[in-house]
Amino acid sequence: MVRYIVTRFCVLSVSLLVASGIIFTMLEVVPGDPASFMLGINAEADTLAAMRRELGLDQPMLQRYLSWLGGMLTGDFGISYTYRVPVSELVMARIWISLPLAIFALILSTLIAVPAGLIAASRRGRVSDWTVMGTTQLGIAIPNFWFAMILVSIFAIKLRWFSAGGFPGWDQGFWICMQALLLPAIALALPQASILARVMRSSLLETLSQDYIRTARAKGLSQRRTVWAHAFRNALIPVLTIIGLQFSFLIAGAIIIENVFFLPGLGRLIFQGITQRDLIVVESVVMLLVFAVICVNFLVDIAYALVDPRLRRP
Amino acid sequence: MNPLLDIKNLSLDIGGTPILRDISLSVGHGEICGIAGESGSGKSLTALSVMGLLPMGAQRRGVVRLNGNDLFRRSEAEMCQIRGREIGMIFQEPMTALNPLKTIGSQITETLHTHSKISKAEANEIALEKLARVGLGGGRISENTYPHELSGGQRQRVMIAQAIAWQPALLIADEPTTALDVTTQAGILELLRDLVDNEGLSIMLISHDLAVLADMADHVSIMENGAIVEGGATEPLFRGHRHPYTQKLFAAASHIPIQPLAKFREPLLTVENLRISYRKKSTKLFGKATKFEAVSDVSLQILEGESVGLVGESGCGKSTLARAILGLQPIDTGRIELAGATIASVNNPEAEMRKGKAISSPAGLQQIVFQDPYGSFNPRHKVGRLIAEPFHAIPDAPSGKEMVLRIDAALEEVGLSSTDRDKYIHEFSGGQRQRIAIARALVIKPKLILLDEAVSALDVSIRAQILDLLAELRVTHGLSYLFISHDLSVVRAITDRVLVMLNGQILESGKTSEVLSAPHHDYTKQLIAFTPQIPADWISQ
Repeated sequence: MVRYIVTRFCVLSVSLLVASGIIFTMLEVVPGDPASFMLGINAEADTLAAMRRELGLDQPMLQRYLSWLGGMLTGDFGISYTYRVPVSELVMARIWISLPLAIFALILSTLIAVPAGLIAASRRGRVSDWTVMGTTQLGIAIPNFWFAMILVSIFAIKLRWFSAGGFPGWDQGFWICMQALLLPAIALALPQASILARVMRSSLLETLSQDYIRTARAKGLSQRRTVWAHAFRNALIPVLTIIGLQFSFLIAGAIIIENVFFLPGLGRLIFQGITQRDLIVVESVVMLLVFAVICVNFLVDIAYALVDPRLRRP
Repeated sequence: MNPLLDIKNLSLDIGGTPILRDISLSVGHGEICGIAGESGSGKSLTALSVMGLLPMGAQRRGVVRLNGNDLFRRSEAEMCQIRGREIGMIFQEPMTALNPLKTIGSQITETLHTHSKISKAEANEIALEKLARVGLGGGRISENTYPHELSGGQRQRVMIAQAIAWQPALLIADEPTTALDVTTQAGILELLRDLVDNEGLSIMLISHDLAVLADMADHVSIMENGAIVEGGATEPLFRGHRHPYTQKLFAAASHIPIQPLAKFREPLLTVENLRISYRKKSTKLFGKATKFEAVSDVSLQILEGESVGLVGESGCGKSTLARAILGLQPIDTGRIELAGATIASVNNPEAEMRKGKAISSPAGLQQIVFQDPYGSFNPRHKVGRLIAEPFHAIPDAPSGKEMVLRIDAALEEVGLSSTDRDKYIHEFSGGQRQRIAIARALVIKPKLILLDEAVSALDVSIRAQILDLLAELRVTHGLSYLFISHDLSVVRAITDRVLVMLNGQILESGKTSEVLSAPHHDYTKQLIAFTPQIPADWISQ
């Protein structure tokens, strides 16, 4: 187990290093000079040069990469070109919206998907199976921003149960904030839950056809006990993979939903950073997202080992 | 005294298709009742009908009584109480029949917890006792072991331990030793016999292997197409089998194809001082990888037109050796030469190591036929394309019309027709698929064909046909065979010479008839002793 975790951790570190290199180089080759963008098209040549010096853009590439990397390790993400405030401040303000939203959506999606998949698989071919399959088909097909707008028009505009958007801030109290995040989380969770439910269903069906299920039945376990005691944990292994991938998507991919609900999240920050050539913000946020994704994958790997003794004790 | 299990006129339909017809048999107290038959004859479904574990859409009729208790009138909840408590069951595949995520201890105690409210400590105590009963006690195997840490034989013992945890009166064993090596099989059969003799267990033993049943069963029922064609006490049945199907089955089981006269000339394959090792990763942090030698210092020769058997249990290095002969396996040191061409040669491992291990394969001199006729074909290609595949291996491959002609010729030689060329593999039976596999090997006219357990997955009657075909092809094409198998009866039937392999080394070699009748090495003696056989005086008449 220790060896497994150490190996996984080494993989994590190397992935992070490679990713940082790729992100840095890509943004270097993207056209657009941050200095001229900040000063406007009429800027004088020497003003530009001074600006570039101030931003550190005149230094060689390798040196800038290393100082960026070193800064990040010490928590210094640099100063935003456009906002003129430390990037870490910008990120910190937003991550407390994006992260809870992603976790909230993921919990919702798992809470919906796992029971739905369970019901569909254990009642294969019956009405409940068809209902789950039909609904999830719909859930995958409907664009989530459209679904978000429907939610807003019903629950916020007609029924007035929730506000239509915006975020009050965590100092206003936990439940008020959760209320503001509920509709966006539902909108995000629906397609994810649909995919997850289908994965859960097919994984469970596959598991139920295994020999050890027949063994359990031959020992006298009822169908229901067999599903719980033997099939469920085995079926969870592929589901874990998908949950890991979905979390990565939810934390970074919520741009559209954040826009629909006027949530100042990471997605919007990165979007603004790109349009304003605020390279340092883009670099830092992308790196942060990569870090989150790789960490989640690491956690999923550990979860695999906890579920599956063949990884823990090869 | 009433029999323990009494099956009367059991019939079964699945989705309207009749599967079983009028099955009647009984298992007495302390008896072993054998059921024999080929795949698809309904052996397993008979057992599952008794257990009430049939697939959806199954309709069963008739009467099945266990100790006078009519099982077909019991509700599902009542059946759950009977399964595991009054009837235990074990299956063919010990590798997949245990849940990989649970410890063996917890899988044994589960049987106990399902049927009563006993404490954890009590259940654990019984589990340990049962592990000891099946020969895994004495602290050798902890109850906290996971199934993947055990060998096939040990897993089958765990299966037995959990099936007998509640001391059921009846154990249904569905091909319990088919997937195991001869020596392991002998151990499991001995354990089952011991449970019958000393604990009064009754067993319904399902097997396709008549020799196993001859050794174990008190009486045997022979099944064909969902019906029992003949049944009775084992010895009289084996001595005087009357039904045409039973006669066919017995003839096929001991079938020996007509062998060509042995006149071998030049050596075709030469293997000299072959060593192959794998690196085994350590499970400890910073632990050193260890070297595991799968083939150690093996030398052998196959002459032109000769059929050589290679026997040994799983893990002895047979398959690694075969891969090296095919040119698919990097070797450490040694030399493999086939018809004058070098397949692999490493003299100075230090120098070769730096270049990476050397492999090269001469074009199309050797081909292979695998065990599994279902898994060894791409299901999305037509048969013609599957057979044409080895043409990639030879420099002067025919194309267009000529290629089609060659494919048709190969198909006809294995007893199929040219119309089969445009079909897909799922349209064929297991035996036909193995014929296609042979056609695929044959199409580029190789000198040597490796047969890796090529008839092990086939029913006896199909196996007899394939053995005949192989014998015939050997004469017409002057082929040499390397016949890898754990089944001594097949090796006896088709090979001139036999090599016995253990732990990567060849222990003994010589003429098949001599080695098998007068083995020198202890391991060979053991192998022969453990192979179940129908007593000679039962068949000699």
